[in-house]
Parts: sequence; structure tokens; C-alpha cells
Amino acid sequence: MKLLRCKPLGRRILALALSSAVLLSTAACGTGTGDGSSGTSSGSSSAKGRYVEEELSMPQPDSNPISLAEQNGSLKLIAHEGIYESADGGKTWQETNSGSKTLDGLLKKGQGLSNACWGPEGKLAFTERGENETYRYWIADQNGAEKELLLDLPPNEAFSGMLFSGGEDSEDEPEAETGKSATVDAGDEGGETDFAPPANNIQQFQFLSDGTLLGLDQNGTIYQIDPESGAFLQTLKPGKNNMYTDFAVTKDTLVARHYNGVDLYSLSGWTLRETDSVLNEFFNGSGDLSASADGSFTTITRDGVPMGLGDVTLFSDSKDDSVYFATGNGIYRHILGGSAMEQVVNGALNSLADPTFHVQDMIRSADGSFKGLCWKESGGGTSLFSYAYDPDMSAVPEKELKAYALYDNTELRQTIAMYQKAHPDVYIDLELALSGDGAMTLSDALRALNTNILAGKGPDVIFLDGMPVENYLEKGLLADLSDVAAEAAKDGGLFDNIVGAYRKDGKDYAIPMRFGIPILDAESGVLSSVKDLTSAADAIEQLRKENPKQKSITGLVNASFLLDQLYAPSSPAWVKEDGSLDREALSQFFQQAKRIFDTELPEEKVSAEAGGSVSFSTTSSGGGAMNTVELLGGDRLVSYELLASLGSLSSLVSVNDEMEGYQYAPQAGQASNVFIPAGLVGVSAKSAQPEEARSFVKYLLSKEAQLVDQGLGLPVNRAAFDELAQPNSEIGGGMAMIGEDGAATIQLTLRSPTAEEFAALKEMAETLETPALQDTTIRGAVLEAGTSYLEGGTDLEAALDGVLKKVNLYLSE
Amino acid sequence: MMKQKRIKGENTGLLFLLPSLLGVCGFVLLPFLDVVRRSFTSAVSEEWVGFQNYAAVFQNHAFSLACRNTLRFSLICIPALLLLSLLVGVFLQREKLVGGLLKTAFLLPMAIPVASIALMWRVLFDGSGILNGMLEKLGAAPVDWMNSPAAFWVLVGSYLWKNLGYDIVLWMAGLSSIPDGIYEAARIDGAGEWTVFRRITLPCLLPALFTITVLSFLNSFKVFREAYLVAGDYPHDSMYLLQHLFNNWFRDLSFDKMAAGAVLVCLVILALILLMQHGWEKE
Repeated sequence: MKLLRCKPLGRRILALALSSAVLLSTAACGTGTGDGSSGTSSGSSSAKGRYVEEELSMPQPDSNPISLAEQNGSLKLIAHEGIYESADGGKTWQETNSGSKTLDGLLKKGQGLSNACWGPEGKLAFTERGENETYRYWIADQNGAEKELLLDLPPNEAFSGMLFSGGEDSEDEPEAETGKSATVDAGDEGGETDFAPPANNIQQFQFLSDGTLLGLDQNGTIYQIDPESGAFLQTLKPGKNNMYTDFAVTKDTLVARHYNGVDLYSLSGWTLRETDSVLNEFFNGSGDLSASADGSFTTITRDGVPMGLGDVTLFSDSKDDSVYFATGNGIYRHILGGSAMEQVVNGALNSLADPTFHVQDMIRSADGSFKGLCWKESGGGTSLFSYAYDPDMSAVPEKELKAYALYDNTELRQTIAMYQKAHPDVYIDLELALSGDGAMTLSDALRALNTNILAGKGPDVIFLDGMPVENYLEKGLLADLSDVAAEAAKDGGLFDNIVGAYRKDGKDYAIPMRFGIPILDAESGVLSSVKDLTSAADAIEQLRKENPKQKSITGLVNASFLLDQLYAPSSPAWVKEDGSLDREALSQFFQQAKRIFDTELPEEKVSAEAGGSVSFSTTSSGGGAMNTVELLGGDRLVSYELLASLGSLSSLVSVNDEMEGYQYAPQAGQASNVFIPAGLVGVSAKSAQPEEARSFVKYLLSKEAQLVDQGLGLPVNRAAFDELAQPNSEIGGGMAMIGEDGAATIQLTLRSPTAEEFAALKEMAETLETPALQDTTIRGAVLEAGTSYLEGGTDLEAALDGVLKKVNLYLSE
Repeated sequence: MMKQKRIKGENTGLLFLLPSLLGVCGFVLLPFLDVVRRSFTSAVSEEWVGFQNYAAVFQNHAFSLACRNTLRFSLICIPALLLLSLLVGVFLQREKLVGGLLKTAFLLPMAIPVASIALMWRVLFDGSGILNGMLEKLGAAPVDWMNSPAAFWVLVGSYLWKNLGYDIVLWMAGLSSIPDGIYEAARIDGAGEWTVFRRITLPCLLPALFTITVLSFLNSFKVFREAYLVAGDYPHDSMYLLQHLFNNWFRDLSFDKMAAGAVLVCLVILALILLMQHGWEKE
């Protein structure tokens, strides 16, 4: 009986325990506070202290610095035009004298000094670059006594006159065999493209504490050099098909970076130390570096410097086992052998995140701050920046704005960095949905965004390229930005025809920051006959008749790419008043596109399946004027191009100089005066910080931000447009394309567009009035069915049915 | 005294139900109430719009197409699946030796990941896939399986193939609960196989029919995964299901229409289940 009484009690206890467990687990599923982030709310924090960026003065406004060092509490800077010292951390500079006759001579000339470094007791090692690419190496002491180092370097093996690839297979698989081609900017040499390999030379020197020198040559070999005799005491190579790209020295270790990671050498015995997995992972995980390390990043050496190795500057202060890295994400510190990579300076809060901002050299000062020689692609020379710890500055900016974009672009990152620099209390958290490894589809990204919006955690500022803008307007997701546009217009004026592209009832809910113009470059007679898509097809057919043996007329031998080029100027003509697609107009588009495609020789055509296709789920993007440059190769007679940068106008007019009678004009399609909106920006109507968001959008439209010209599109700010559209006598040099046989097949001397040419472009911009259809679902359906029709996989009616059924279903939703 | 004991027993039962009830309330009922609320508001600003969303849904061409397709799919698939699985189940039950092995074989499709099935679809039904290759060898014209009305039957076939094993197991569980003695008595009385099946097996399986039908119906919604992975947001008209529409509405921020549509679909499913339950209880 007792047993019978106990059994239910046990069950009850068990049931109670299980119930409690379920309840507790349910409770645990509730919304946790996490790291305290609260969606769009301000990210205020009471924590104090962070590194703050400050731009310091340079000895001269146009200084051309080579090396920066700190000795005995003073900053020392070697530039092409002098040696300078600053006792107050870079605020003021005094020019000093090296005492070395050779060095003084080079400084007086302002050129010929290749690299230099400071050593103990005021010693200085430097490289003199003579005429005809000859190099001499010198060591000078503080008394001015100098001695030439005679180094017996092997020939330059890294530069073979062919393209240089950083991958392991680069030697086994020369680019000529892979069929790739590339361009090389010939710089200031007046357009003469020089492919002669430079002599091997030391590109980086550093003194060791024992007085010997370390030098890195063009072949990627590091030498320990006896400063007295010039003999190589140690020769360090990273292995076959690899090379060292730079190095740093800690207290007792040489950290040598190569394409696949980092090698560590003990300075006492020069033996290879155990691999530092954290360092290797850091480098292999770095986007830019891995791109070159896996061999897919093709580059070419210029002046002996392999280009495109990624923006990671390696440095150390030689005092302990720490090594530092300056990257776009910030400045990192790693203790050799340790398990962590510590982010000391957050790049997102200063200029380091700007993709056009590059660190040339960086040191760690005795006071714990970092000093760096940095330059921007937009010009202005090299500047000195300091990153010093400010204990009173809040650890994270008090305001946090959430920005969302599907795709990455340089303009966006650069303007965010510029805005944050001007507003240190604001942090812009940019989420890029589709910039990763491509695992996420556009639909997935939009659904994830909508989930956040639904949960009240959506972004404040939305970059709408590739998104269903009309849908968002209809749903009331976007706030009216008319007043922001009006305010921004005060800063130099805006192209209202572009800015108002999505205006509804006098209100601007989405504003294009940039725009591209689809153009056609052809012989003037041909160009004047082209009035619309049909006449374009007529003209191209006529060209084929007159040139039966011409390899290609348009160069667009892939149906997918041809449709992509023709899409924008015709797409607005397909949309009927009720929003559905006009079958007749679309039918015309397909038929004319097929006529153009059929002018290509059958043996030259490349199927979209085999030759790749444009992404059907993204909108068009600009690509400079490379299609037009290829006119010079003679493989095409007309060029379809998207003009999305004032910088690329230079290539365009230069090509037309070379091609007799060639001109460019807006691409005639089924619609007229069409432009491609880019950098479309909107502010969420549900933003918790609407004023900050609007302030950011206003900045995006300001002259300062619009001066960034990296190929996303032409600026909508008139003042920025006018400033960028100035004839520039400094534009020069040339461009070359290397064919499959390694020979230069195209050589182009660049010139600046004239004031008249810029004015003509501006006039063209003024006439634009219709944005191209940007809806990715419609674009995807048209390109997919159109490609199949052009390739003969389906007939016209079936292609039209396919598009219309899908699009009408989409529109009816 | 008796009443007190009964009440005490009921309270104990409630205690056992409470955890799962709380879970269902927290994760299903309360969110659904929010959906009902949203069905009367605008998508983003959540302003009260009355029955406007319902009106929009009823006038929506995509919604009516999706409803038609979903209904057609259910009406064809579920009876076909129930019948086919019952026949195979009865066969396997009779063939005890090979039945065990074959039962496992029929369950295999359930173990195949959706991504693999999607890949298999592509290989089989692509314009230049295996099926068209076979058709060409036989001298027949190739079929654009995924962009023609054939797409619907591909979907039906996929559903039957994937769920057959599951339903067979359910039927076999029902079959095993029928005492052998009834069959033996019937056979002694001279009943043939068909009579035994019609007079004994089918009536005894009726209690299982309700459960199997509901489960088959719910499983029919899962076929969307394969359809979506193969044909994306906008497949051929014939296989455009309600899930496609809801998925696209969510992508397009049409929370208003989605909420109204969800409430309508929920009401229809609830009515169907109640109807079936009523019929079963009556039986």
C-alpha cells in the first residue's frame, strides 16, 4: 500500500520537473538583450576611450615622402625633396641635413631616391635609382660619411614582360596560355608603354639591432646584408612559386609575409619558427590577399612593385613580440604565438575604411599612438595621419545609423568614411547583403531585410539599387526627402531631371545619387543614321554587309551581354500605363536584338551557357569605357558603353581621336533620353533616427561627397560635376592591352577631354528624363527569355509568352 | 465525493497539458492573433484599413491562380496518395517476408535532402536532361518539363514519390491493429479476398483515415521546397502554389495582403479539418 502511494508521487515530481524544464526552456527562447544593440536605437554607451584619427601637417604641402621613423622621441621623415624632423609628434617640422653628399644630391634633384631607412646611431641606408634603371645602395652615418654597398643581386625573375600572377601556378601557367589580357597604365611617360623589365633591386631596407641590414628584392627574396662588405649573410626564400612581399622585425623574430601567409625566422639562429596559425588565417582570410594568393587575381609589376597585393601594411616597433597590421578594417595587433588578433583601431570609425585610402607606411610611436603616411586615390598627395588613444572619447560613437545595401561599391564606402570623419559622434553600420560568397539570393536578402523591418530592426538608410523601389514607394516604407534634396541643391545645385526620377506627387522618396548614360560610339555617318533600336539594327546589318569578313560588329557575341547593353534604353517603352508590359513593344525589342545578334558570325558567337551570362538578378552597372577602347583592336566596329564616370570620358575621347570620324551619342533605343539611376537612396519611414538619416542623405548629395568618382555613376550635384569636368593637363599617359600572345595589341594615348567635350556631356545629361526600368524580376525574365530566343532555343511567341506570363503574375501579386 | 475526485483528475490533466499549451499559445496562437490584427492594417504604417486587405486579396489574380493550383494539387495528390499507399501497404502486409525490406525502400525518399531532390529534378527534367534524352532516343519530341503544363505533373509525381513510404507505414500500423481472427472467421465463412478487403480491412482502417489524410494534406505543403529550389519565385503557371505567393508577398513587403491571405487559408483549412473530424466521429 505504501508502495502504491509513493508511485504516483514520484510521477508527479517527475512531471513537475519536466514541466518546469519546458517552461524554463520556453522562457529562454525570449528576446535576450544580447550585446545591448537595440535595432535602430542610438548606440550610446558609457564606455570611454578609443583611438582617434587626426591629420597632421606635412613638411611641405606637396611632400613626396618615402619613409617614416621615430627615434629618440622625434619623428623623422625622408621625402624625395628633403629630410625632416619633428619633435612635437608631427605638428611642426624642421628640415635637417644628412651630411651625405650622395643623398643631398638626390634630395636636391628631387628624384632618384628609391627607398631609405633609419638605423641605429643616426645611420641611414638608401637606394639611388640612376638612369636606365640602375641602382646603387649607400649607407651613411650621422657624420655624413657614406659608403656604397655593392650587392650581388640575381637578375629580376619576377618580371618577364608577361602578366604576373601571384598564384602558385603562375610559372606553370603563363597568362598567354590562359587567354587573359590586362591593361597597364603607363603613368606619366607620355603614353609610351614600356614593357622592359626593370633591373632587380632592393625595395625595402631595415636595420637590425646588431647593425646588419635586411633587404627585400624584386624576386621576393630577403637578404641579411653585412653593411661593411655588402655580403649576403642570409638568403631567405619562401619556397617554389612564391615570394616574400614585405617584412617586419620584432624583438627577436623576422616576420616575412608571402602569398600564402607568413614565415617566422628566429633572428638568433635564422631558423624557421613554428607556423603562426592565427597570422596565416588572418592573411588567407583577407579578401584582397586571398584573391591574389589563389592565382585568380592577375596583376602586373610596375616599377618592380607587384600591384594589387591587398591593402595590408605590416609593421612593428621591434620592442616586443608584437606585430601590427593596418588594413581597411582597422589596425590589428598580434603577439607572436598568441591565439588572438586584437583590433586596436576600428577602421570603420575613421578613414581606414575608405577603399580609396591607402597606408604607405606606418609606425607605432613610443607614446602608443600610430603614425601613418597615407594617400588617397582622389589625389592631394600623401598625408601624415595619427591614430592616438583618447581616454575621454566614447568607446563607440554615440549615434548609430544603420545603412543597408545589396551590393558593395567604392563610392558608398568612401562617402561613409568621409561622413564619419566629419561627424565623429556618428557610426554608420553598413550591411551589405550580397557582397559575400554569393550563397544568398536576392530574394533571400530581401526577405531577411523585410523580417528586420517587420521586427522594428530595419535600416535607417536604404540604398535601393536592385530592390523593388516602386513596391517600397507604394507600401509607404520610404520617407519623403524633398526637403533634403532642396537643402542639398543649395550646395551647388542638383540635376533635377535625375534627382526627381522617382518623384510622386511632388515628393522624392528615393533619390539617385548618381547616374549612368548608355552610349553608342561609332563612325559619325553610322551614328547619325541611328534614331532608335530599329535603325540601329539597320545600321549594324549594313555594316555587316559592307564588312563581311569583319570579326564582329558590336563585339557582343554573347546574347546575354548584348541584351544587357540594349535593355536600358528600351525598357521604359515596354511599360503600359497600368504597369503591365506591352507585348508589341517587347516583341520589337526581341526582334531587333536578334537582328543585331545575327550580324555576328556564327563561329564567333558564344552561348550564354558556355561563355557566362550577365547576372539576371542585378541591375546594370558601369564599367568605364573599356568596350570603346577595344574599338582600337579592330575586332568591332561600334561600341555599346555605359558612361558612368567622368574619368572614363578621357578614354572615350582619346579613342575617338584615334578612330577616324568616330563619335559618341546617347544610345538610341525604343525610349529616348534614358539614363540608369545608380546609388538610389531612401530613408526608412520607420527610422528611429530620421534626422540623422536625412543629414547623411544630404551629405551624400553634397559637392564634397559627389566629387568621389569611382565608376558608380556621374554625380547629380552640378558643382561636383563641373569640378570633375575640368580639362586637366595632368591627364596623360597611356593604356595598353596585352593580347594572348603577350604582345600589346592596343595602345592608347590618353588626353583630357576639352571644355567643349565636357560641356557637351553636361548638355546631354540635362536632356535625360527617363530612368531605365530597374526592376530585377522584369529584367531577369526579359534577359532569360531573350537569350534563349536570340540563341534559337525558342521562338518569338514562346519567349514573349514566357516573359509576359511571369511578369504579369509578378505584377498581379 | 465522486465529483471532487473527477475535478481533481481533470486539474491534473490540465497541468500536464499546460506546458505544451503555453508553447502553442506563445508560438502559434498569439502570433496568429497578430496576423489577424495585421490583416486589418496597412503593410508598413499599420494604419487601420478595415476589410480592404481582404478585398485586395479576393481581387488578386495571383491569389486566385495560387488557390486554384493548390486546390487542384490537393484534390489530385491526396486521394492518389491515400489509394496508392493503401494498396502497397496491404500488399506489404500480406508479403511479410519481403514486406519489411520493401517498406524500408519506400521510406528512402524521405531521407534524401531537399537540395539533392532539387538537383535530381534538374538532371531529370532540364531541357537537355535525362528524360528528354530518353525521349529523343525513342524518336519523340523533347518536352519543356518545367515551362509547360507538364510542370504540374512533375510536382504531383514528386509529392507521391516522396510521401508514399510515410503513408504506407501509417496504413500498415492501422492494418496491424486488425485482429487476424476476424480475417480467419471471414474466410471460414467463405469470403473472398475482395470481400475481406471491402468488408473488414476498409471499415477497420477508417479511424486511421482521418489522421493519414490530415498528415498527407499537411505534407502536401512541403512540396513547395522542391518547386522553389528548382523553379524559383515564378515557376510555370500550373505549379504556382499559395506558398509561392506568400513567399513573394513577404519579399515584396506586402504584409497586409499576406496577413489577410493567411487568415483566409487558415479558415479554409480549419473548416476542412472540422468537416473531416465531424464525418469521422459520425462514422
